[in-house]
Amino acid sequence: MRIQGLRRFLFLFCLVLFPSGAALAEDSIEVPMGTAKGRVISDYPIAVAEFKNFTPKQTAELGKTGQDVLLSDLALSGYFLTIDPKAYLEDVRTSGITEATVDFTKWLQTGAEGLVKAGFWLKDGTLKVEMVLFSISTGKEKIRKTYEGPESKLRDFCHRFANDVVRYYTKRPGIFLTKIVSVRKHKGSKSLWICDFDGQRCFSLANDGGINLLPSWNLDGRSIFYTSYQKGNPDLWRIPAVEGSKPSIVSNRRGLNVGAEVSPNGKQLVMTLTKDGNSEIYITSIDGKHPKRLTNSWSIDSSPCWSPDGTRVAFVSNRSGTPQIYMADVGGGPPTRLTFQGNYNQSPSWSPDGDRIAFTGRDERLVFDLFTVDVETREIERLTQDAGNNEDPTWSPDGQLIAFSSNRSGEYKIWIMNTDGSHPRQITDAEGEFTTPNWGPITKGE
Amino acid sequence: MPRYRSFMMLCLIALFGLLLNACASTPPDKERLAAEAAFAQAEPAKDCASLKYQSAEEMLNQARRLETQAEYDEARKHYNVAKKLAEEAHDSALTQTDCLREHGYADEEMESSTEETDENGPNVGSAGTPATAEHDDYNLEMVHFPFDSYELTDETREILGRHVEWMVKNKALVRLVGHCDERGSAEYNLALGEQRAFEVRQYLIQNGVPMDDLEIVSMGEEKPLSYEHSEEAYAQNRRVEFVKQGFREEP
Repeated sequence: MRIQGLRRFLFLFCLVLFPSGAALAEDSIEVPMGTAKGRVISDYPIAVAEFKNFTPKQTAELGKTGQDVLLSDLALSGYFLTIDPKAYLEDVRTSGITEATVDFTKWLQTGAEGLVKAGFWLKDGTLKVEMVLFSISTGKEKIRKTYEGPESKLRDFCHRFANDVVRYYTKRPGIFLTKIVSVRKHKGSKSLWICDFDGQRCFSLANDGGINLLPSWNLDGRSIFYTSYQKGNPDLWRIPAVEGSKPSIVSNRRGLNVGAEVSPNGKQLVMTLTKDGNSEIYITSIDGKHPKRLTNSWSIDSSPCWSPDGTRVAFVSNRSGTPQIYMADVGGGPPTRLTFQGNYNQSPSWSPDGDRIAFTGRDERLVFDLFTVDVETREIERLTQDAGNNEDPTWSPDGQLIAFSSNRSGEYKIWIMNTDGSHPRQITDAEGEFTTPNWGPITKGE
Repeated sequence: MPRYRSFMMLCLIALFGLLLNACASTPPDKERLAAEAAFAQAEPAKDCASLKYQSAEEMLNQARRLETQAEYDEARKHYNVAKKLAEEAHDSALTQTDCLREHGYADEEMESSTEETDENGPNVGSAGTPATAEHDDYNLEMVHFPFDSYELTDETREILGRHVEWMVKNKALVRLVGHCDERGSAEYNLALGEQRAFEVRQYLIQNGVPMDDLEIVSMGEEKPLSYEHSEEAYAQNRRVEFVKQGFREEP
């Protein structure tokens, strides 16, 4: 019933957004660009058919898996509304994956605008998949890609095609091959936990039975900076993001060496050190050398993050008496205070478009929730409410989503949502508590 | 319990003294075995043993290194300290019933371990003399803090005053370990824990403890004493602990 109502609404919505015959490209999605303040979360209706099995006498399971992965990707992206397969009318067995063999009138009735169809061949353990994007209203093919490799690569093929679909509609790269690292607390120790952005194919790193904290990706997506107590002191380490890899030390100055984040040009780190007797923000080279002090106060300065253009750093300071979000120019000068509401604001994360900083705030009911502050206007927007505690925001590299930790389902798990707080979805379900997620970059070649 | 523990420590030190005289330049086999045994006993409950377990491990490693360098006397001392730290770690872990339960230790297990340590006390004790009693039976009581604060309260200053007296008199080397409650970000809490230890150090130094005798580490919100989510538990967890690291030798 709900789907039906939603679909009717969407028809109207699409008529407004994409008037037929208008100069606007018939199937492009309006997305926020540059410093545009108006953020549009699009609900472009799209359907993904079960992958057609072209191999005789083979299981159809792969076809279902492929469909599920693509539907999940497109739904999570924040750009699309995926139409429920229960509403599909076309029979996958009697139809094909070419313009002539797809029954577009049946797909029109589902309310979808875009349609992904695919077929696969499995021979001697080698999988070949052909995926096609159609525009339903015109009946035209828009993208066609073929992938070949071991059966285990199906997920990657689907993620790659989903990236192509997003790029086709939005002219922006997709995030479907990115990863999220978080800290997993399990059996009294804390290790790093790395998963695909959709919570699949997870593995642990730095699983030494000790305390490992505050992971942050390098720009190439191949290694992770984090803080470990393995030598007794909270030192900064770096570990390749590959199962079974060994870490190497980056900074083991006396006191804290924590919260490193790589600069947008990949050449520097910003981090908190207490080597000079009090917690201050420093910028170092990527190998942790040549620290340059950015803050200078007797209070706590902590949790630094870069602006996407690399000219500023946002951080937490309690110099006013309570922890608040500040920003400072990398070139020097006194920091600017950004938050004035609430008495406990922490964990800043700068949006990829540079306009907003997401942070954790404690509200008057002493509950932690996520907010954003506009860097220019200082306007505060609330993203979560009445759903447990919500902390540690991190933006997807395309700026469409925010991952965070929340205990709304009982224990702390990693969730993702649209940047206006809509569509929250839990992505970790393994045993243990998960906190401080950090979203990896879109790496070259994706 | 406290009486047993102090008695036991006292005896250990006496024993240590005897052994030191008896076998000055031979490898410290006995001490190594004793330290390793104590360490092995503490190991299963290490997750609940606060920082003492880590310190014991460090001390044990140092001792092994010294032994390989044929620094037998130094190694012997380190083994003894490691043993003591491991025993303390074990004892302190056994009081953390919430934590033990969280890590899946059965209640019988906890009880039987307690009995074991209790039995150990008198046995070792029969060999000892209370010659160096003052050194170790002083309890460096931890101090607590208000929420999101590193202010030293009057009560805290009073406790620290007593610590200063003992530390100066005994030339004690002490590690100050700062802790927070679980609320707030892990990152901010690391800085807050450090600041708490920093404030305590300032006070100790101002009152006569040599700066070099003190070291600081922050555990942030990572090592709570209580795993409950109540105001009382939070208050208990906002603290600076004092971990004895040995005693300064005269130059």
